[in-house]
Amino acid sequence: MSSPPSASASSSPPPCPKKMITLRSSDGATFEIEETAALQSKTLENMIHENCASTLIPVPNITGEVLARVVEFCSKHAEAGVDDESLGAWDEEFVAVDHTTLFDYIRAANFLEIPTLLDLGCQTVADMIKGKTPDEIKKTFKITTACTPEEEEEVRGENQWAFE
Amino acid sequence: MKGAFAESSGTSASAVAESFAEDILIEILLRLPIKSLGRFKCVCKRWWSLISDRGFAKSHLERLKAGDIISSQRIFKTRPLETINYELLDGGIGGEDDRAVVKFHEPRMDDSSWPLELVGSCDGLVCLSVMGYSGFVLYNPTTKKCRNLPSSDHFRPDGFLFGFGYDSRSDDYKIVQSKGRNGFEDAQVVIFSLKSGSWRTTQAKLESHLCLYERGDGVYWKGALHWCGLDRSKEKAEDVIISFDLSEEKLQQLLRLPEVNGDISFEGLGVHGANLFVYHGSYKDCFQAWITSEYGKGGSWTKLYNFTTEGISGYSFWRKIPVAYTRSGKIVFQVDVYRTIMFNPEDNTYKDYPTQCRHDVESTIYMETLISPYLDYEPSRIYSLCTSGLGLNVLVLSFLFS
Repeated sequence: MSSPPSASASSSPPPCPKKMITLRSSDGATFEIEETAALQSKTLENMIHENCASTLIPVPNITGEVLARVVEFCSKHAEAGVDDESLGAWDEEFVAVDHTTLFDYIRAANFLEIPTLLDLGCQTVADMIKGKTPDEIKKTFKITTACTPEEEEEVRGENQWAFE
Repeated sequence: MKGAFAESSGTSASAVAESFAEDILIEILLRLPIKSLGRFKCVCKRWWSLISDRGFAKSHLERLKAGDIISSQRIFKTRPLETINYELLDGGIGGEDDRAVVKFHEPRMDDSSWPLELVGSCDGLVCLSVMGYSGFVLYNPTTKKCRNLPSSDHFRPDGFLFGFGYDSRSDDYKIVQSKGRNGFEDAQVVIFSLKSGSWRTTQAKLESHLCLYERGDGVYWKGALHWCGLDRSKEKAEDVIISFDLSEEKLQQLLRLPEVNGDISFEGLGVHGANLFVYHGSYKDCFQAWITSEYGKGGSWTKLYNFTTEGISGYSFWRKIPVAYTRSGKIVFQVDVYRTIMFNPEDNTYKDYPTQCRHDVESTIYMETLISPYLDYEPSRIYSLCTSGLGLNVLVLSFLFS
């Protein structure tokens, strides 16, 4: 399961079939991911290229629960021969979670620089919130910094067009 | 082994979006429709400042242009001022027709005393000239922000040409007006820069064998204004497109027109999605139109419409000007200077939009955007100082629209 140790770096390594990378979450759980899938993350891509000898990468900002799902996402998107429609349906299932989890996926995607997951996550949140009122937004995002009632009224007045 | 991640993992899994990095919140906001963004300005100061930022408005506009443009397009018409959500008439859903037209009630934009004439539309801003006191108005019909602009010293109510558009090189919006009575023949052009708030004169010589087809406003497309014109250098006058590049501020004849047979003269230009649109058949019992997406001599034209209107019962319009196109391929025509109809070229039927008319109506397409006629700053009493880390400062000014 671990890649064979290379005696020297001078000769180009033989192409390894399905090179595996191991990621370790903030709470110590480990997950295996194919290198090709890991390359979906720009962050991991950089680390892999800098550190080709080691295959264990710590990911201290992401919990095991979230990291497991991120690994699943990257692996699915690295799969060959999946048509757009089924991938779309799979993505829809993937983001059918509560919004706290969704925010976790987005943070992970931002941190690991996975454009496809970031786009999917942000678009899902946008679709979820677009019809809400400002008060509902405050609840969803747990925003507590309040404006004065006067300020709120002024902004509302200026943007009345958006409430019609 | 590298522990390359510099960020601390202080936030717990249940930490919520208030701690979202700004760039993530912006990514979410950029994907929201305009009305949602307008409402969400009321959420808190941070959201207000993010959404009010001009950079944000520009990024949002870029996303719109890269995506499904039609869903954010509307028609703006004058006399009286109304906006038309034209796709609604194509919805097939009963009862939507009335909602398709919205009348303005902005007193500043009331055009019953000072007739307003269309100059052009770009990035969600509509430019109008005011006949009464000789000035201009820049208006965003979505956010209802309007700004009065001064006329140039050389303003002529009967000035030949106008145009309004965006110059990407200087990141500025410009109004262009020819000084003379006859197009660009005396080569003097006055240009208003929104950034500087002032007019200046420049030379823009049009080669003597070229002239413009008729008095009119230039169509803004890909950084330049375009008009139909004539090349009289040959025995038979040839139709050409004349462009005024807003960055170079030069007149040139760059675009070729489609190759046609027969008695076709190109009457007008427009915009179809992201393409330039040229048509023939305003005054006839037929209509033909072509589109091109590429600038320059190498660009090729695709025929988009070709139909006859002869024999359609109830159809007796003497003049039709195409304004917009629905997703299903129907055309919105402004007919006979007072009606707006949606024509279906597949079955030769048409429907009227419930618009009003006071006098000769003019129409243009615009996009629903957040772009402000004040560009970076806005006169506002609220949020006098905003320090959200974006470096955006809202100036405290007295609350005047001018």
